[in-house]
Amino acid sequence: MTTTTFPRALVLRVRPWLGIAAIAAASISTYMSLLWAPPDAMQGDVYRIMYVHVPSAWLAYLAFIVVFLASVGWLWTRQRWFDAVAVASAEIGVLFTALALVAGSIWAKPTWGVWWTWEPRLVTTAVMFVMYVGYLLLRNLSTDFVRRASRAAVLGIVLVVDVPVVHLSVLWMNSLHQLPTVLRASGGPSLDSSMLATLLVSVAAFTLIYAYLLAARVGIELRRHERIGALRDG
Amino acid sequence: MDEVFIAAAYIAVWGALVAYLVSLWQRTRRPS
Repeated sequence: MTTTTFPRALVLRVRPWLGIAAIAAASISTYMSLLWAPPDAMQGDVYRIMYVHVPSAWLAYLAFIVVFLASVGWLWTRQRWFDAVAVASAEIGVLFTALALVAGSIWAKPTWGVWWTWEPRLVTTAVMFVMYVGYLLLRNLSTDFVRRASRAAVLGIVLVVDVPVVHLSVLWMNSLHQLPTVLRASGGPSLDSSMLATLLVSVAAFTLIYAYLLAARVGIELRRHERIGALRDG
Repeated sequence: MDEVFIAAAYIAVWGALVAYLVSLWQRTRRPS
């Protein structure tokens, strides 16, 4: 039997501070996004959707990379908390992917004239969303913990391949979506400095929100493990 | 017209995050 004591104690200690930091960062990022950052020369004010669209997409990447790392951790060590982190991060990653798609769609209408178009970045992101919904559904197919966690871990390792595919799809194929402006292979960010600062603050705020949600969701999952274990034992 | 799209995007994103947070609190209090 493996222990779950260490991560739970850590999670409980850190969580309130994460919550306070997340609320503060979200307030600052909203002020900077809507009031402080200058309007774009081409798009005017509607580009401000970028400050919720891009962080949502990046946090979806991060969440699925965490699923990958936790899946490797489970297969390597068989410690149950790795599986709790994997399922928690996958659930939050699906949420952030959905938010990136919705905010992107709302941004696409005034800039491209359509809510949706079948171009590489949108299609690969939609595929990523469907694949991780499938990952969450797969977890319900077995009641045996070890079998379920191991199957999910294999899938969590395989599915991460789509993360670089989504990010690089705009470079590999002809795309309507704009090219990367910050995470570029050649040169630094191609954004105005105040816009870049606002974007980085927004990413920091979303990262803190992700960390808080992850801590809360992992806590729920660990309690569920303990409850199921207690029922089985007697 | 831009304001409508900006408001829609921000309400969708922040609204969904708050809704998920509330769902986590409910699951913490009443585990399924």
